This record gives sequence, structure tokens and C-alpha cells, in this order.
Amino acid sequence: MNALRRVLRVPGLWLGLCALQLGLAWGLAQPVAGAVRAAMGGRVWTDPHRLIAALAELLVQNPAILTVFVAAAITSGLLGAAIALLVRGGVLLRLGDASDRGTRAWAEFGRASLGNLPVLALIGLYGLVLRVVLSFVANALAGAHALVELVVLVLLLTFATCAGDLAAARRVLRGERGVHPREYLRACADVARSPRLWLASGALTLARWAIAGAIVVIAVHGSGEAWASWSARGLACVAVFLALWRVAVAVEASRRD
Amino acid sequence: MLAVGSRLLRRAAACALVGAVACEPGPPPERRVAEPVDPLRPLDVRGPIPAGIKLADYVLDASLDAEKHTVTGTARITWRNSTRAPVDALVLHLYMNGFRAEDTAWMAEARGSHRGARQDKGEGKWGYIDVRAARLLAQGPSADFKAPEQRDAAATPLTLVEGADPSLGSLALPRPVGPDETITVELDFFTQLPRVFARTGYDGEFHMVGQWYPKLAVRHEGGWQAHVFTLHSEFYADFGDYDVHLDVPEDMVVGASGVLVEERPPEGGRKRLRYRADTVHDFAWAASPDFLEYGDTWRDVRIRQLVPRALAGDVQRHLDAQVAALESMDARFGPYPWSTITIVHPPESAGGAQGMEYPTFFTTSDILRVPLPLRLLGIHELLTGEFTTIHEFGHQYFQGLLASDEATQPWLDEGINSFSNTLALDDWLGDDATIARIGNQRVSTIDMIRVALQTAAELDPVDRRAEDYRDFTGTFGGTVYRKTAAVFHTLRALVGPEKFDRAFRIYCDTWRFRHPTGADLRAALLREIGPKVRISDTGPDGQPVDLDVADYLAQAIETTASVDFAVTRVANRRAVGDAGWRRGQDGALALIEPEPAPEGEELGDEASEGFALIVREGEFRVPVEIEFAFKGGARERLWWDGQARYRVFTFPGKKLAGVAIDPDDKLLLEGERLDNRVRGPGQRTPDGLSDPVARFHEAMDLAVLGGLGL
Repeated sequence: MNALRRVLRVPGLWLGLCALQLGLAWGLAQPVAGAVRAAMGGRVWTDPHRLIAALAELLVQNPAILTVFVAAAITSGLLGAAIALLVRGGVLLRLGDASDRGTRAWAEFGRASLGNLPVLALIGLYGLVLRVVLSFVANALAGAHALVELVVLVLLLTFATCAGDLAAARRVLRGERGVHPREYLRACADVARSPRLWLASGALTLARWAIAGAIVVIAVHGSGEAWASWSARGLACVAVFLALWRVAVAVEASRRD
Repeated sequence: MLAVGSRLLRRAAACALVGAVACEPGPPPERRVAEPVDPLRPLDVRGPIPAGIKLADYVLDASLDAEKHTVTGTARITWRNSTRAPVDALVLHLYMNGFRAEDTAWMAEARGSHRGARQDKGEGKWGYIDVRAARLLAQGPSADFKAPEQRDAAATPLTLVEGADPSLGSLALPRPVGPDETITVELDFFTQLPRVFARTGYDGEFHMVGQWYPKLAVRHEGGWQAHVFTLHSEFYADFGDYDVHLDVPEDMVVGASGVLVEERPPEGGRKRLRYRADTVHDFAWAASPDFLEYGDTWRDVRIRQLVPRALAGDVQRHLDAQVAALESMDARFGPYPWSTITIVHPPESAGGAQGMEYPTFFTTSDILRVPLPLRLLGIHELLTGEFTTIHEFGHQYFQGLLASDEATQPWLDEGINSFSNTLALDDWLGDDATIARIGNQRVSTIDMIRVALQTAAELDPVDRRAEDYRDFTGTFGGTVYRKTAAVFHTLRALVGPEKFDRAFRIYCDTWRFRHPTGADLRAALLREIGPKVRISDTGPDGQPVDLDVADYLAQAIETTASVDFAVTRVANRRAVGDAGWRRGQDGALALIEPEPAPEGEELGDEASEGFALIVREGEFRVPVEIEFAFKGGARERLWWDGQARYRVFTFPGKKLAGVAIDPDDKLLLEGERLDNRVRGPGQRTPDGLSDPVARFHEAMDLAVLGGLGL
């Protein structure tokens, strides 16, 4: 079973994660909308292409709104990371074996998520340390050229993501303890020995980053317009799919071990 | 081989990643156009120069030591006393001494910072000018104007005494200079340039030589108009002709005020250049071996750009801006009189020299390099480079040609120039020109001015001396530049562009080369526009609404009053009916009961009365237009004279759906606009801001979640 097929066999998982992500983003935008609406009172701004001027004036008059903006942005980042960690065990389980359906599957999903949470958090921490180390390595390898440094950094960060996925898959699907750094380093070594794995996972990671970038570009080009919102939501669903695919690549690799 | 391969690999990777940035083409080939013969445009193009306005002629002979960054020279100044009183001493500006020590007036106010840039530390941070000898060469009805090589053995030695602040000095004369008498003095000076800071100085081999020679103050009937050089004060001087001889290293490319009239063959690694600038009040120059030269012409005006190689890709954009400025200002403010304009691009490391004007010469600033990812966001701006070029060229009119006293009334130059810049941008790019764009959002010239009004324009009035603006308040830019521009944009919108433009053109034509004051400008506008301008024939009570131009200008320029109107209440209520006890024809009282009717918004139009409370929250009294929107889609506009503190507008038989103050955005002086447009009761129209902001935020959340999550 290849990785893509694993994802296609669990459409409910994909749709559920999409709904979670869309709901979260929509929910986090509501305090922002509420704060602006309250500050506007009965006032009206009519030029949709000069929102910067209106916002500048509003922020001068109500600097507290900026706090709401920043708080919502930080919350979305933290929640995104927390939820990703929380569902990681269940996602790996479902991608590893999609045969169970119905309530039992959800119960298994919950057990796998919560049961593996501490170890997966530890693997995430190892990944964070590795990313920091690799950032320094990229800087040292690339010398003074910022662009080369960026390329090397991207390569190394995709490596860290792939290694983290593999270590997590081994923990959830093969029951490895995953606590000792040695196990994480073994996953790193396996990724280094398997360029195809690194390439597949890296390409999917890059595609997901590209989609995140595309969402930003669309949001800026269509600031405040409905088409931009729907495009962003659609792309976000594609990003979730790509993320599942990337995890499935690690699942596939762990099955081959 | 491996190293070469590695280098190629690195380059290829870089190009593949951000091709447009990393593989930018080399600089375009240099192009030169012939040096104009005459520093002035032909008489039939530029018009006559008023007689008797040239009072101070200079022969400057200077040598640049590019390694020590010093200029050694002589200044031979011939000055005519145009006042009715004899003058027994000459007062000189020694501007470079403003950078001599921490306790000069300039440095004490700036505390080592100018326009956000810090003064360098260590060696080379200080600049100064030392007048080492002074001589009286001639005095009488017409003084000599000799070539610098000719020394006068019979010269009388003079002594220059520095003032309490070293940016001023005076030369006592053995015999007073009588009315209409002329005197020629010669001064030997030595100028140490600082590392680039506050418009002047050196950076490596780049030298920006401004405020570099002893310069006469202006004599008025009341005495010398000599201003200590302070942080915000710029310059004021008499017109004259400049004959300037520069001795520089052979490899230097030099740009200067005026035109090059002679270049001697290099000798001993140095070359000698001679420039002539006619009817100007200052002379500046820049030199660097790294300059590339790009020459173009606009009509009969030579445009010369001197650009470091790294910035040469920007010359076309600056040229477009320069041509746009010439097209606009030549048509609006009268013909540009000189035959040349030189634009110097200081290197990126010499930012302190950017954005400064001198006659027929200015320095511009770099165009912001937008990285590729940001370019994908649709970021485009004219603020950093093009705007600077337009702004600094605009000074050729208000600082160079009208030449008001910038130290006493800085708004006459910086403020009026800022006003003219937005007109030039609108002429170039269309009304309400976009000067910055991010995605589908834009920032216009109006936004740029208005944002500054909110934060800085209410502490100081426009008409203040430059030295009275304190650096701490941060009001100089907002008040002098932006508020002044807003004052004249608002006046133009209220009286009508045609009427205003004609009046302003007459002001410019009348005062070319004549150093107008603020009173002169106000008098010209009052005379040409009229003391009162009819804004509307029918105000809210049927009476006409007029603008009192003198009162408007007095409030705008002399006070800190701000324009601020707000819609504070919009409602619909039951119209006054006929219920109650009334006398009938027989004289007896009879009770009339009202028809049962719904309340509030359920009332029909005919039984309703819309009313709106408009409050003048600012102290500034000015007519304002108000648009009332009614249920059913009808609209009505009314002018209110804005004299009272508030005004209640009532509309029997109509229900209000919304109110908009100044719907056509004529009052640019009004910094706060959000409270100008209010929806009526019961209206569910969106506020126009919260939904777009929420949508944008949601999309950003999705990007973060998509990029980080899982």
C-alpha cells in the first residue's frame, strides 16, 4: 500500500481535520471581528481598498485592538502546534491501519492520541533541538551567502520533519519506546540512508509550505474579499491533505523496517 | 575545479531560488548629453530675471584632499548693500561648524541623531570650517570681480570673529559699506568634512560637499538675517552668480550646481574644473570615482544623474519621476529657469547625505529593494526613491527660485513643496495618486498626509521659526511638511482648483527670485481668490455659505486648531403632529386624538422626522458639506458653515439611513475621518472594516495552521 492510498482510505480523517482547522481559524477571527466592530460602533468605512488608512486611524484611537490581533495570532500558532501534537498518535494509527471503522475506530484514535502524547511531545522536543542545531549547520555550510543558507536550511529542516515523523510512526505503530535520544538518532540515520524517503517527505513538506505561502499571498491580494476567504479555506484543506500524505510516507517507511 | 563547480552550484541554486533578485542585470550603459553652455534657459523660455536681485556674487577656489576629506580654498565675495543704512560689519554663516562639537546649537538639539540616523563614532565624526585669513579687496560703487589666481597685494587684512555659536561669524570693516555701495572680501578657509551625517560629509571615496564655504547672511533694513544653524533650520541667502574652481583627484566624477564651463587637462594626478551657476543662492557639489553618469534632457533642460554602480538599475525610475516633476511644476509654478539639474545618488552606506536640495543640484534616496517574496504580495511603492526625487526637485522652486527664508518660515519651503509634490504625483499618476500598494490595498498621497496629522500637528502652529521646533516633540515633519500641505489642499478643494491654481501661479510668478514671506503668500491668495468665497448658495437655513479666506488662513497657519467634525447622533422620531387640544373656528377648544400608529422605525416616512447631530469637535471653524442618505435611497447634500459648535439637521417626513460628513474628502486638514460616516438607526449595513479584518485574520490563521500544524 503506498502512502497516497493510505490517505485516500481515510477521507473521514482528512475531513475531520479540515473541519477542525477551518473551525479553529474562523473561531479565532471572531474576537478580532468583534473588537473592530465594537470600536467602530455605528461608524462606517466605505472604501474597501483603503483599509490601511482606516485601520491606522482605528488603532491610534483604540490601541487595545492591536492586543486582540496579536493575541489571536499567537493563539492560532500555539493551538495549531498543540492540536497537531494532540492528534498525532491517532493520525498515525489511522494511517497505519484504516480497517477499523465507526465508534471503535474513534475510541482507538483517542487512545492512541492520548496514550502516546508524552512520548510524541518528547520526540517533538528532540526535533526542535535538531532544528536549532541544523540551523547553525546551515549557517556554517553556506558561509555568507544568504540564499544558499536558505536552501541548505530548507533541506535540513525537511530532514528533521521526516526524521520526527519516522520516529513517531515507530513509536505508535511498532511500539518502540521512543524516549531515548538514541531512538530518535536512529530515525535520523535511517532518513539519511534513505534519500527517497527524505525526498518524498521533503517535497510534501515544501508543497505544504508553498500552500501556506499561497494563502498569505491570496489573503493580501484579496484583503477582506469573500473570494479570498474561500480560496484560503480550500487551500487549507489541501494543506491538511498534504500533511497527512507526508505522515503516511513515514508510516509506509516504518512498515518496511 | 571543485571550487569552481561548487561556486557554480551555489550561484545556480541562488538564481533558481530567487532568480529576479540574484540575477539582476548589470547597470545600463552610461549616457552623456552635452553640457549646457548657459547656466540659464533662454530668456524667452525662462522669462526675465528681476533687476537688482543679485546681491552676493562668489568666486570659490577649492581643492579637495580625498584622503583627509578636507577642502582648502578661498571665497571671494562681492556684496552690494541694498539697504538704506550703512553696514559696518559683514555677517557670515559658517554652517559646517554646526558639526564641530557637542555643544553647538545644532548638535545640542540633535544629540547625535538626524532623521533617525546616528552620527558615527570615533575618528572623522566632527566637521568644521576654519577661516584662516580674511582680506578686504575692494570697496566702492562697483567692486572688482577677479579670477581667483589674481591676488591683490594691496588688500587690507580683516579679522573674522566667531559668534557665541560657531556657525556664525562676523567681519568688522574698516569703513562702513554705504547704501548701494559694493564690497569685495576674500577669505581663506579650511573645511574638514565629517563622515556623512546630516546631509554632508564623506563615506570612503564619496564626498558630498554642502555648507562648505563661508556664506554671507542676508541684510534686511532691520539688520542681518543671520540664523544660528540649528537642527531644523535650513538656509537663506541672497541671489548671485557663482564662479567655482574645483581641484580634485583625476579619477573623481564630479557633480555640481550650475554648468561645467572649463576642464583643464589632468596634471599630477589631479584635474581642475570650473563651474558657473547664475542667479542662485548656494553652491554644492559631490565627487566620487564610483559614479556612473546618465544624461538626459527634458525640453532644453539637461538632467544629469550620478549613480553608484550598485544603484544604477534605478536611474530610469528616478528619471521618470524627475520628468514628471518638471512637467507638473513648470506648468503650475512657472518655467524652471536653469538649464540643468543634477541628481546625485549617494551610496547606500551614505544614507545621511540622501534627500537634500541645493540650487540645480540635489541628492535623492535609494528605491527600496523589495525581496521577491514580498513582491509576490504585490508590494509596490514610490515613497522611498521616486518621491524623494520629486520632493527634492520641488525645492528648486520654493527653496531655489522663490527662496523664502527657511529658517524663519520653514513651511514656505518644506510645506508648500510637500503640497506641490502631491499635485505633481496626481498630475503624473492621476487624481489621488497611489504611492504605495500592498495587494489590493493602497495608500494615497492623501493618506500619507492625513496619517501624520493625527499624531503630530496639534502642538505647534505652522508659522514658527525652525529653531522653535523642539526635537523632543517630533512635530516638525507633521506640522511643517504635512499640515502645511493639508492646509493648501483643503483651501484648493474648497475654493475650487481652477481659482486656487491661478492665484498660486500668480504668487509664484510675482515672487520669483524675491524671497517672499508668509504674509506675501497670504496677501497674494487673498487678492486673487478674494476675501470671501461662496461655497454654496443654499445652506441649511437657505442662507449662503461663504469661506472667509483670511480667517481660514489665520486659523490654519497661526494656530494649532484642528479640523474635526463628527456625526454624534442619527435618529428617526415621530414627526410633530396635530394631536391635542385645539381651538376650532368657533373659538372653543376641541381635543384631537392622534391616529394609532407604530413607533420608532416602524413609523411610515410621512409620520417620521429624521434628525442628525453634527458636532464640530475641533476648534477650527470651516464650512463642511454633509450628505444625508434616506430610506428608499434618496440623498441630499447640504453645506454647513461650521461656525457653531454643533448643528442639528432635521428632515420632517423623511427617515435617515445614514449621514456622511465631507463625502468628497475635501477637508484634508481633518485627520480623523472614521467618525464622519455613520449609519442610521436600524440599518444593518456592515461597518466596512470588521468583516474584511476578520476575513484577513482567518486566512492568516489558516496559513499559520497549515504551515505549522500536524
